[in-house]
Amino acid sequence: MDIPQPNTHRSNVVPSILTLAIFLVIIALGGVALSQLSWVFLPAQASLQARNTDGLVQLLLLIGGIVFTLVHVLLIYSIFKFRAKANDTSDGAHFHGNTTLEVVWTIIPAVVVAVLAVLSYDVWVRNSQPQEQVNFVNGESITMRAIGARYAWTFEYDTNVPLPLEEGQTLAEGEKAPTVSFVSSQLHTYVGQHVKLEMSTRDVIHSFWVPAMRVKQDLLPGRVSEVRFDPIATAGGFPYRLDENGVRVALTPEQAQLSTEEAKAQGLDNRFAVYRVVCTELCGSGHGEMYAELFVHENEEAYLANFFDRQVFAVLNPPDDPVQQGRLVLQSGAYPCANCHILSSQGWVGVTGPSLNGIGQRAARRVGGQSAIEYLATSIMLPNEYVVPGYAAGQMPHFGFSDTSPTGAASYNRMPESDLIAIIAYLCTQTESGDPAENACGLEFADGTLVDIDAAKAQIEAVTSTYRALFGTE
Amino acid sequence: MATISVPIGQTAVPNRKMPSLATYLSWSIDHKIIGVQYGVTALLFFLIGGALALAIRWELLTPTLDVMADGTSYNQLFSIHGSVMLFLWVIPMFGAFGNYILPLQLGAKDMAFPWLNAFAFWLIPPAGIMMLMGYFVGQTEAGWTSYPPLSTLFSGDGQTLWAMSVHLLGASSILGAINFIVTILNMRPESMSIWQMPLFSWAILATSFIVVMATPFLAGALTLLLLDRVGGTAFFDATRGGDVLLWQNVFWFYSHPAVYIMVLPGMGILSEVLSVHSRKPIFGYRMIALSSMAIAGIGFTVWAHHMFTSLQPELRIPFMITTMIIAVPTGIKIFSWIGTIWGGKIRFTSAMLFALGFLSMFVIGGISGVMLAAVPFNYQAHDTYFVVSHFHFVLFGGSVFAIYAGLYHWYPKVTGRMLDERLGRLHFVLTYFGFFFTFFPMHIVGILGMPRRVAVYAPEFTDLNRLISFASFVLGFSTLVVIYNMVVSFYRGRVAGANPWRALTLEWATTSPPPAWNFDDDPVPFEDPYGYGTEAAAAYLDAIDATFGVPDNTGSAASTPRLRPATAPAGD
Repeated sequence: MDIPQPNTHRSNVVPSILTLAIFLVIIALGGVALSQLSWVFLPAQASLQARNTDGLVQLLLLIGGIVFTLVHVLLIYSIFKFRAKANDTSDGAHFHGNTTLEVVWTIIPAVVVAVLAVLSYDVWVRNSQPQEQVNFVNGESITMRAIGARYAWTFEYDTNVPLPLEEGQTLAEGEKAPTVSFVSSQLHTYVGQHVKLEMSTRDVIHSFWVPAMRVKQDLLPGRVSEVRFDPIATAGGFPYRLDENGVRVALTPEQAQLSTEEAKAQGLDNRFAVYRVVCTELCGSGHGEMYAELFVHENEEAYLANFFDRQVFAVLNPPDDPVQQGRLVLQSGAYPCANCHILSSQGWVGVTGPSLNGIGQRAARRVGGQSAIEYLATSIMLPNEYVVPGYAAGQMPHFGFSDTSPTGAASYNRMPESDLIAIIAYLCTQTESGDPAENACGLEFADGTLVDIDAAKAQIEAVTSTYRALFGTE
Repeated sequence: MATISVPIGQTAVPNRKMPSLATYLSWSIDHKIIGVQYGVTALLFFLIGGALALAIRWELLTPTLDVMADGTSYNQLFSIHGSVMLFLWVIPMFGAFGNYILPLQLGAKDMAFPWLNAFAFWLIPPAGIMMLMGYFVGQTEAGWTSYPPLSTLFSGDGQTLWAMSVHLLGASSILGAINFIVTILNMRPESMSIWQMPLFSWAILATSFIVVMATPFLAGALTLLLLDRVGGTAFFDATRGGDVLLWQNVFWFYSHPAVYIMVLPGMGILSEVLSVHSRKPIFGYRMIALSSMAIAGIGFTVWAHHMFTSLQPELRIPFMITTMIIAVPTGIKIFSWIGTIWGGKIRFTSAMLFALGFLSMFVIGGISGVMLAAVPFNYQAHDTYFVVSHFHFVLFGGSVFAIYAGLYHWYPKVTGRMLDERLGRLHFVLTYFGFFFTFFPMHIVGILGMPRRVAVYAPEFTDLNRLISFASFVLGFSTLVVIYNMVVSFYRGRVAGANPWRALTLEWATTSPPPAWNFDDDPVPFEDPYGYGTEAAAAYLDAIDATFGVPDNTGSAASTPRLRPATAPAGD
């Protein structure tokens, strides 16, 4: 370094070779140290995309660590070396710059960012490369959609399982048989599936983020966006499985990390891992509560057993009792009620909307002149007609029987009338104590079950049918 | 070496006092009055914005919503916090430094358009009140970025007031910037070429170019937003043929350059403070000046890196490249500043501590900025606490540290009194560590999975959030220390004299505070604004002391200002 300095001793400003060597070792160590931060810093690595991205992150941290240490070592060195002694009123060395040095510290960063740009581009290309055979289930692609609505995620699955034809119905030449579709508030996939989600929003901008997958994509009004990821098994394994009643049970870390064959030998088949789907674009007052669960099953077999076959079965074989139907509908997560309401019997803990505990007892008293069933139906179909004091209007999504709203805009969620009847019947049984009332909502119960299923359905349908005129039928 | 230039004047001039309070509360076209008006207004809004930030951190002590009444009130908190801090604190505060210091540094008697200058300031108080009024009409809940359709179809009338307020503030910025450009290009003394201009003035010049080019785009975007809200149009309503990305593009076309509006003047302050307090010429003057211009230029080509998760995928890569390129001129500045203190005789004044703190913290913001530019990493970090951390390292670790450095550096010029150095050191220590532990852990919690702008978060992030909140309370307290220091020193601080730091730029070649006409005679700038370490410079500084006297603070009655004529050479 050739620094012109008329007024000072050269040794004061130009470091020796040894100092330089120590300095280089220190900054290299700093870089390595910071790149180790990636182990505390990154969540589970649950997709191929995560694997690629994390390699890049380590490199970024390494370079970042070198720059950080470089600047701080220079700063700290200067602070001690060049501090003015007490009563020293003199000035420092008089030099204005050094062209060589300035060229060096322009070119080196330029080269570094050029290399980073190339490497980032490479990772980006690998991560967004379209995969063949997306969303394979039973050897065929199904359509998976993510729908964002304030403040919940809904996932739609259009399967290839044919619906039974109604009596007398025939298919024209080349016409495809109608297939089973179902919705869930949970996203299910399995290790080895190439996931491709078509995403759209019903209201404001949302953003689909799975931290464990390192993917994020906004859902924009008026557009369909797309996100792809390829789940892999993580070091943590699969920490959950369903017991014979379909209830999720947690496994020990050792059980979670067993290979599929070993686990099967111990009777621990069909395990899965659960990650968070998070909304990362501010969407309103319940933004922080807008999340869903992403289930990664250990293989396709587990996916079918734990999720897919159950859902298809429920569509093909609905229970007759509307209370049981309602319980299953709400449990399936087809509707996003859980994000905003409390309902202890379902384990809901949302706070944006009023609690539904004991709603079966309160419903009849809420609005003068409305029966309990009328109140519940109105609250679901037209949520802003009556807003419980202390809660904001305009927060709850709209539900209609069809895709077309009264004004013609497809701005709300489909809800078949049968689901509405089932949900009302189920909510009627919700009491503070937990035991269904004898005469909840004017429906006749004995020992906690409906006395006459058909009469109860007819009683509720008499109310819900009034909404057919408003929304049309399904 | 060139001839010694001496400011004209013979004997110590009488001590001057600041104008009365009433002057500051009324219309004045004196740039120094306006500068103080800007500064005090901005500081008031800083306290308001800070209180809102502490309320945010209080809410985030627990993973559930328990302090705020509902999610909307929480959303208002950070929306107004962000808007106040950016539009009513950082930008006007740099306006304060620009207004007060720039004409003095250029040896001018005032700005080019004094009336316009006053008008630009008086747009700010009503705009600020309008922004806070949102609290009383409801729901300014779309964040400072105000993305439609949340800000158009789903928010309350506070959002309309917000847009009008920002509109007014933008107009104020544009008027101020035009004034700065005209002043800088026309009102320098004949003996000061543009390459002899102090770097703070260079920074203001670069900033002003950005303001006049970028801010009209904000005005356009806000006009469309207001029309959508109150005029029934559908620019951003997708159901009626509008497009939400239109807002994002136009908003960020302003708001990314706005980041440089908010940091370049701070870099200018840093160049002044580092050079003066380490008694050394600035390292690479031209490169620092030109890199400001490079940042201003490249800053216009990077806006869509805020939209990596919404933009068409094939457009993301070009913006990644431009964003990475902008790290180069920033790096040049950082290394030049280190070169500046290298070989100096560093005085650890409070101003210097904050300038060094800037170097230490801003570099972290720069590193995380390059990381965020990498598209695959951005997918993980976008709209999470990592981003919150990044821009606080830039805007607090950068801009606010620079503002503090500038406050300690120029407060003596404005008031004629020194700030208390012991309180200054306390302030620095509390700020530095409070800041680091508030914002550094946010990187981690963000990447682990915590989005920004949430009141409710996953329970596993509670510990980190507690740490962040407690550190933020320390940071909040540190602000009270500097406010206390400013108030107490105003009455009881040591008398500063004309040139307490023995600095070469022209604002020090007049009394503190300067007379209404700034200079008793036409000042003669020293040939090199950072030419420390030469006999010529020492002679020039001694001449200033001889002309204006150095304060006699030896007696016990430090509160009675006395000036004694200096007997040259008066080293202090």
